[in-house]
Amino acid sequence: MTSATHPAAGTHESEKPEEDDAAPLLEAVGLRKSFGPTPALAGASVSVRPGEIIALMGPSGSGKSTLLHCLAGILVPDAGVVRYRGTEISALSETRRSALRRSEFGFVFQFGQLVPELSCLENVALPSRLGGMDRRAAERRAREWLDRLEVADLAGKRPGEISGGQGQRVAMARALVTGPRVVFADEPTGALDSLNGEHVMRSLVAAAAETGAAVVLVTHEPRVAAYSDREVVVRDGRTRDLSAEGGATGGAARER
Amino acid sequence: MANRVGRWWADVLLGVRLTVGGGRGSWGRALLMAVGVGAATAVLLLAASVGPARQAQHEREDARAPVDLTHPGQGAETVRLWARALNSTWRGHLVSGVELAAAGPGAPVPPGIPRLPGPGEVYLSPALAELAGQDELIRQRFPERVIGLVGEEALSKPHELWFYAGVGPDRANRDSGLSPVTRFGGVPGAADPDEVARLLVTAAVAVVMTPIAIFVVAATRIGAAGRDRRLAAIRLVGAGPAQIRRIAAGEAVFGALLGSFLGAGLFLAGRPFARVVEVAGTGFFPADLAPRWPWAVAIILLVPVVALGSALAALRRGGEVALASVRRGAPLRRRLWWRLALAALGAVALLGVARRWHLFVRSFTWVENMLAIAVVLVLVGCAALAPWLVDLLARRWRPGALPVLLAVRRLRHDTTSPRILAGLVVVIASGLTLQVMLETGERADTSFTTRHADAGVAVSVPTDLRSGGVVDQVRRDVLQIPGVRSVTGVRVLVPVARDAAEARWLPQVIVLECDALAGMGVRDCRAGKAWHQGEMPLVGESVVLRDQTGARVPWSVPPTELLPDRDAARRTLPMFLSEDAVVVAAGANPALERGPVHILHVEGEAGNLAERVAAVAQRVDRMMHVHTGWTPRERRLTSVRDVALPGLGVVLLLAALSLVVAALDQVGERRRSLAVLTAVGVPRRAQAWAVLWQNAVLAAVAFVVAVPAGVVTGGLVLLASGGLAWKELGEITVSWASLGAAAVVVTALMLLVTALTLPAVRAAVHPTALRHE
Repeated sequence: MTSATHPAAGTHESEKPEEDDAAPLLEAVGLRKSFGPTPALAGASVSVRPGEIIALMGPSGSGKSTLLHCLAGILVPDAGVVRYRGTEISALSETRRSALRRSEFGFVFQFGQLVPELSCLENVALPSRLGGMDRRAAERRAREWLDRLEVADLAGKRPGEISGGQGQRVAMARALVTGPRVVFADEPTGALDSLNGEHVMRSLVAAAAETGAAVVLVTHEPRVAAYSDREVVVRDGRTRDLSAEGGATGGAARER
Repeated sequence: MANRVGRWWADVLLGVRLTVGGGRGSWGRALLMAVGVGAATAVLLLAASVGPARQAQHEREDARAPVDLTHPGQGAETVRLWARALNSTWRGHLVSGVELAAAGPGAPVPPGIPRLPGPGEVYLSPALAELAGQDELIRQRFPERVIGLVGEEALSKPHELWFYAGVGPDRANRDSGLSPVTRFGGVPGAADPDEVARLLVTAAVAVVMTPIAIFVVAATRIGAAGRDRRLAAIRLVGAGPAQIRRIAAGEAVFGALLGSFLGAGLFLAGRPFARVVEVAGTGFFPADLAPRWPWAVAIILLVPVVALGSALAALRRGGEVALASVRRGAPLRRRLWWRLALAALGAVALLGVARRWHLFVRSFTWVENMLAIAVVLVLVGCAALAPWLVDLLARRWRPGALPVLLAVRRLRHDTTSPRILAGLVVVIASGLTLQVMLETGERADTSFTTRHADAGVAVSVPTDLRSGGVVDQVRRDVLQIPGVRSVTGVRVLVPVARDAAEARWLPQVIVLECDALAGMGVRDCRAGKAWHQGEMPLVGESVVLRDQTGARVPWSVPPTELLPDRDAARRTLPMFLSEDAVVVAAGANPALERGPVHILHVEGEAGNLAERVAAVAQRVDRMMHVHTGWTPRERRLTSVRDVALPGLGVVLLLAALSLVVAALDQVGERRRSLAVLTAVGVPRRAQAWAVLWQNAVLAAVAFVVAVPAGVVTGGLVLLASGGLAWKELGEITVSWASLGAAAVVVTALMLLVTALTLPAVRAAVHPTALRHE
């Protein structure tokens, strides 16, 4: 599939310059973050290249979600640097980080985090509308993405009326609708059965490949991590890149 | 610019969309908030109506007041009418009216009646006519033929007991107590309340308004947890902090505006009931309850703005950070210092007003504002203290029983209950503040009311009638009343002072018969014996006294004893008994008894004595006044009652409503945790008990904080307004009945809220609900 078939491809191509595949798109160096007296990150480092899928793995409480939130600009680290395309995002104002999340990043979390008061279509159109897009245009683009993820028939339903798997696909549509360069997925299959989990992961990987977006995937399931190009283990707030050590081979699931 | 406004508008609309588009749950939350804000709006409109309503009352009272030739500005006009205004009481209710005697053609007709009543004719107000039909004693006071009802344009309130009685031309003279009248209405300064009354009313308004403001703030927290999550989710997909605020504003403004209109509707719908409702002697015609339009507009707009501001201020970290970190948000630790500082600042300000630190400021309005702000500060400070106490309790208390544990832990994490609790504290504290203001004020008063006057009453004799045979006639008639044991005359002689310094210590002399003194606890009465009731006079001092005829009577101050029952003396000698008065038993010094009788003291069997005496005395002359203590001090307190009691009643309803609304909202928010508790085997009974415990802890804390806060604030307000002197501080009265009533109200509220919440809890913990959670 080429980028020309991608609903948001035109915008993506025209507004966002081509990336140098060798240079990291997103990079964290020496991140430290504590919540009160509890350290969550203790010198974590990771880099993400354009179009790459990396899996942050580790046991519960290891700091992987905190690392993802720092990478996405949701949390500001106590020490260390997060750079997105060479810009230090931890130094940006909250407003600029919000704009970054709106235009450059997409999010898929364990429970979808759809706004329950809005219909699925409105949920997917929300980032575009927050960015100032006209309602009709935003909803037209949202419909295209719902269609693409095979949940177009859910457009008028509210999140409370659909299943968990359907909700995750709607959340994916919402994450991808602005043509992000990075999709952050925190345990995207955590609340799903294995069949639905597989379905969601295939959709996510396919959509990311189609748009050229990188994916930062937080999971503790090897089955899900198998969809990644690279696995980074987080333990006690520190990171270890397994692929750099030649221990793990990503992409196994995608090749199946 | 237009683009920016468009985007702002889109954000606000998105907020509105979140409110109206979320199905029954969202609408439910919006309606709950609307009810809270609406109730507050209705109360505010009611409160804003009290001023204009009292103004309208004053205007009608003024319009019916006869203006005699002695008033400044009255020329030598032809006298066409003689009149006198009369006041008496019936079981503590004021019975007023005017006696009229036409002196020629073209006599002015007072408002509310088509023509002047002729001799032996009377117009009664509808309420007085109804009462006369039911009560024999009141009917005896009006032996005239009733020729019609007084119209509303002459009445100050729907239930006012008012009359216009005609008298014959033979009484159209000053000797009969009537005055020549040129017109009705337009007495300059007639409606100006005194400064103390204004200050007390200002304090009362502040006391009533504070809980309303707190409940408006609480109403905006309805559904807060869900809103925080929702906004955090929107934040996650890229909404900036400013956008989140606009979206939150959109959410809040819908419910607030809806509430504002609901409140206006409630006010308009409830207004007609004013005709049938009278609280503590205060009543208004529906048409009187019309706030001035700038106030009405301000309230209808301001309440949503306050709600909006509160909603935005209450945006927890959900508005500041995105979803991911909200879940890590620990309950905010409540700080003590600013709560204490608020209360202390208010107390210092009240003390400042009390100590007259403001004397260098000429503006009375400034003092009024200062007092209102100080009262609000004290009450808000105390209200803010309650959540801190709950927090402390929840952190320190490790209860063993599961329902108590659940209740305490929920209080720790709940953000709505503290606000409701604060409101409850203010309501109770306000109630006690008003109780202290009213009760202590009444006690400090030197007057009495008919409800105190049981076995002894006083009939004051009008100056004009003292020399005639009227006194003897009244004495004879009153003695005929079954149960009356004695009717004795009271004479008052005033000292003639050589200079101002002497005037300060010279005693007034009241001459009484032993029968009357027996009612004041005197058991060893003999002619010429003397008693003091305040400061001991200078025994042996020579004084020149003057009686009512103007005759001078040399007198030497005899040794005195303290009057045993000074309360009874205050009741019996209401307008003469000053602190330095000396009471002398009659029969020893004829010079002291040559003057006319001021008061007839009546001793008799308790039970309706005042009404029975009034019925007889007023048939002789309506100016014969059976004393009920209707003094300026009490009028002040009446003004406070007018404002405070109806307002407080409605605020209490608002408190109940808010508690129920917040409790139901909480159950909605806690459905998941309730379901989980059921799933792990916590019995439903324990969950129900937990709800009761939660409300009980809130009620107990509210009571513990509110009681001292209310008593202290009441005392400070009395001091600050000048209603109580510093040396009278010990007289501050807290009635056990009021405390008991407050405890009963709080307990009833707690049980009511629990009862209304239980069905929702039962539904949430029902096994079928678990599947959905």
